[in-house]
Amino acid sequence: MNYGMEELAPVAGSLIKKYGGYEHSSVTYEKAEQLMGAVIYCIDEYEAENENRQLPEAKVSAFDAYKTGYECVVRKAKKAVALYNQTAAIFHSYHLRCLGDTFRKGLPEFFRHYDPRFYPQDTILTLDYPVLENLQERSGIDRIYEYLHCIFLEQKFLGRIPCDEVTECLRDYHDHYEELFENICHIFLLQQVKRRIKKEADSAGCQPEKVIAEIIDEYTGFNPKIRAYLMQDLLETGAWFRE
Amino acid sequence: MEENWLLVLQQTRVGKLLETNQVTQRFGLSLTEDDVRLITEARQSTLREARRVELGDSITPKIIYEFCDSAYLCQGNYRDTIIRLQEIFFLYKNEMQDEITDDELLHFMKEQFETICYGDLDYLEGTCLANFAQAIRAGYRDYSETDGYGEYVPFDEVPRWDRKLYLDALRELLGE
Repeated sequence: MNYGMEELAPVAGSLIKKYGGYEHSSVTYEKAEQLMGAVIYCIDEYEAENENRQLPEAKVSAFDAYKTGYECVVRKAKKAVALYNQTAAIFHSYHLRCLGDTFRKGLPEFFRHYDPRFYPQDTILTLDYPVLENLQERSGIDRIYEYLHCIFLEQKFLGRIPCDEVTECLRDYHDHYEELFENICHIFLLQQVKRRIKKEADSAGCQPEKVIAEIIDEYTGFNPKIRAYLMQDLLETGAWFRE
Repeated sequence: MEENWLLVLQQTRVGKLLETNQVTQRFGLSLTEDDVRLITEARQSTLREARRVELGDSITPKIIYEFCDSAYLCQGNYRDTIIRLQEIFFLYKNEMQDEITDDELLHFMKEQFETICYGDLDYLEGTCLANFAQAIRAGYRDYSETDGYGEYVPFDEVPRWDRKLYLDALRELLGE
């Protein structure tokens, strides 16, 4: 953030006026904090986009940065809706309740209630289904978009495997897997590694990370995006075996 | 830079308060620079207590323009009344959960101050506004159509007109 309080305060001030419809001269601390957060969030979005494009650095005013950042937020929200629709076409919850609820009930509610103008930093949802990527530091549409992207990659990966095979794997893991709050890909990979290691006579010499990487390559058909996403599970699954 | 920005904002607000004298002098009311300083300090402390921020124009000139023609204001109580009205205003912006606009609240306050409270700020704060705030928190929204005028009657706990008592008194006067 390249802007000081003296530049941000007038931007937040004008947003506060808009929020109150020019009919409230004051707001509570909590509301002011929310609206200042909205300004900072949009400016962060603007700066992140500029960083990605690697444009020559020329300082723009906080007002312009906020305005452009707000447009980025709206664009990202539209992209997220498109990604949601794309994922919905191939989506399967495999009877995992938290995945089904988050995707089918939670995310549409998010799009219905998301407020890019006055509360863009609000994630609204608790996102109960855990994805493999750590999104804790993100918020608002930024987090939702990345979350959706993770779900999309998972669904593409799982879509290559017969549905029965996935559910059988999940059932082997837990009789009542439907109620678990765990990642399907993680369970699937874990079960596959377990099976493969069992088959090998000398499991002591077998490296779980290597087996996981082989399984990922085998199932992802070397799709780099899906592979990179699933590889994030490598460390966790490897650690599970060491325990 | 930050301090300069705040200083400019503060000076603008002081200027706007002094400007109100041009209107209020007609009603025999005016503020000295010391009064303005005291009102500004009181406003800042009230805002802190109410956990609110004002980023643009201050509400105080609006309070002054709304109340300056009151029958219950004189030069002797002018400054202190404005300070109390500021406190009451911010308190009830919070109590009404920001559902009511500045203008609607000011219109309601002024009307009750003149007609129900007869200049009693404690009655305005503790009874009229408390009743109205309770109704707003319960979902009452009709004031947006009336701009805050003529809104107290349904919430008034005191029977202002008792027909039976009036007739009894009349009969007594007529010697019946």
